[in-house]
Amino acid sequence: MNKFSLVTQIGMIVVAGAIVILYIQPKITTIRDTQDLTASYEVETNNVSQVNENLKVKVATIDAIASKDLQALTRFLPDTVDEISVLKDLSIIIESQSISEYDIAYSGNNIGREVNDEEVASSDSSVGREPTNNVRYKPTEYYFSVDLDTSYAQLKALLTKLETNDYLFQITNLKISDGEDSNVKAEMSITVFAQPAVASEITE
Amino acid sequence: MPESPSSSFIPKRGVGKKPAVARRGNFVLLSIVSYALFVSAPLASAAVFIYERHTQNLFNKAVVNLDEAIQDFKEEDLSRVTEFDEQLAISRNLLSSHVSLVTLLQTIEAATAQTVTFKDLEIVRASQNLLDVSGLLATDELNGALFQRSSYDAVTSINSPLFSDVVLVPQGVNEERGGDTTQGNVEFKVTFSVTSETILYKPLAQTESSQTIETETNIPVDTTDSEEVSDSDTTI
Repeated sequence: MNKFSLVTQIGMIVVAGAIVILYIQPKITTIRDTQDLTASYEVETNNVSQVNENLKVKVATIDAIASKDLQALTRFLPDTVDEISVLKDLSIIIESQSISEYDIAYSGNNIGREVNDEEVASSDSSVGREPTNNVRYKPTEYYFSVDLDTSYAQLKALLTKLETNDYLFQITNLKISDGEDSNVKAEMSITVFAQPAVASEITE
Repeated sequence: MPESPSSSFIPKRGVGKKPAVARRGNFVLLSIVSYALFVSAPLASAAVFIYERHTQNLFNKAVVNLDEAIQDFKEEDLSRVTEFDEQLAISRNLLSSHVSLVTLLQTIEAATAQTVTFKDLEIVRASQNLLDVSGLLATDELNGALFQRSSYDAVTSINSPLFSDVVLVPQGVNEERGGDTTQGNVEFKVTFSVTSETILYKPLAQTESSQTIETETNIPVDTTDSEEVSDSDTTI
């Protein structure tokens, strides 16, 4: 047995061990990390692809809706409300019922916003409209007031007309009292709704 | 003279002990292990290197796939869908609570006795599903007020009718005020609530509730200064 051979062999073992510790082991760790990363990227790719597919289906569904229905929906809940146009519409509707003595006014608005969970939970029925669970945004509300002096029959005809408008006239308050010449005095508060700008907030 | 074996200066190996062979065997084993390790370590390194390249390629491909999927995503489509969905949800919410005040007035007319007149009436939308109604009513005599109370109690769509502030107005006082002679001399306040489901706008109302409303409000109404109805009020 040669002492030199023994040292050589031990040296070989040490070199092999050094290769394993200094090169192979770190590389295996790196490979594992890369594999984990690849797996997570594949999962994300699948998720994004799924979202893209769902989005395509939904866009196709919207595209399949008849344009007159889309227009009706847009008229029912427009992006913005021009208060002067609403006043004009109210005036036309009131005058179509042969009511000449009336007073209409715009009383301001309440910009729509996102409804937080606390508001949903604490929405008090005595305060006003509370959103349902499906609605994440409160619509923008425009308030109008109408005072008029007319017959009761004409008032009911006017209310019927308001109920069937293209966009919603929600009467939040109606006060009827005795008027002049067998007429009634009616004071009503009307709310008109518009869709809040939600898309920009979501995609930001 | 024979020499004692124990006195020999030559060291003697014990019986059955072969250390030189064992060392040589160990040395051979060490040699095999060391050579095997020395050869296999670079080979394993090469294999790891190649496999790392392979996994890196797979990772690069996954990154490219994700990039392509992200590039396929259209933000404007999501905005369009989200906006439309929100528009539908809000519209559905508004429509589901769209009530007909005409139907409510007709319900009140049908439940109000002919001898009772409204001096004023206020309808307040208390919440999405509830409307509060309050009114000042007048009638000729107390029996009319009693009948009116029982009449409102009998109508299912009128919730919790509450009569209060009953005032007996002497006829003379009415004349002093200059009111007409047909003006009632008993005044009282009534408050009650109505749920929106019972007075939904007709196209939205369910068939059953529509029929109920129609039967309640089938009586023609002709009112001038107050809501009078031709209800069957023969008992008063």
